Amino acid sequence: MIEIPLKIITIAYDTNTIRSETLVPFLINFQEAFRIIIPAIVYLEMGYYFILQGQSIEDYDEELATYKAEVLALTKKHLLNVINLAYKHRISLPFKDHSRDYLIAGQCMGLIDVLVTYNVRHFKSMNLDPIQILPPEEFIFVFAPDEKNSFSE
Amino acid sequence: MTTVTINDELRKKLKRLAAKYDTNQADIIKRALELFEKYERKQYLDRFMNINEEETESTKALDDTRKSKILEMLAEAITKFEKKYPEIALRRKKLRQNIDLFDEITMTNWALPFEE
Repeated sequence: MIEIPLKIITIAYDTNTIRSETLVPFLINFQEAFRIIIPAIVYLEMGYYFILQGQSIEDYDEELATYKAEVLALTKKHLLNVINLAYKHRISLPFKDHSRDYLIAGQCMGLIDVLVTYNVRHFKSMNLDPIQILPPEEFIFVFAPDEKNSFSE
Repeated sequence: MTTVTINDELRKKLKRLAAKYDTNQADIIKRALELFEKYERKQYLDRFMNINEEETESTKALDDTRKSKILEMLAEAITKFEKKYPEIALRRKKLRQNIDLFDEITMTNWALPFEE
């Protein structure tokens, strides 16, 4: 029997998904179905929050390793994306209020299939097509592998 | 094998249930733990469904069978996660509990010198 390889979905998650109880267990359990990118600003915010809460950066790194997430360093190309996006949407989404959103979007453009965030409205209004912008619960419903593609142990 | 100490009241309950279901006391404990795990799982799913109350286009398109299969899969994923990575699960729980503080640290305001 020929086995058809799964299409790997590239995703990034926003810092605010820390509210989700289900996203991390889902990503760990079905990690073979996803390539997980951590935008630089998300790593910064999460790392800082871990330390504020008496955890360490190593704790966050350990977690990222369990679902093989890659932290994406900021490059000049990303910054140019940020500048262009921020200029294009300067009226509806002023940079001073949405700098972090632009930094996430600028890194994700041309790289990911899905951005998982609770801030759907702002990212959608940036017109990041073909990137799908979904909250964690909807992401799980839409992208849960079916039974034959389940990676459960 | 290990020994645990239980009080008389609990011991009597165990003995009574074991007699009632014609089994041993260890089996009653096993069944009770299974029920507890089921209950925990249901709580997770209830919370998940509450968050997901406002159905969107893509979730509306899924039929109920597929939805309940996904929820079942998710419940299993959570149980496995907690068993395999108890430290990460506990850490995540703690981080969620202080979520108000988290809102203060996200970079939501970055005023540029040339902007009003």
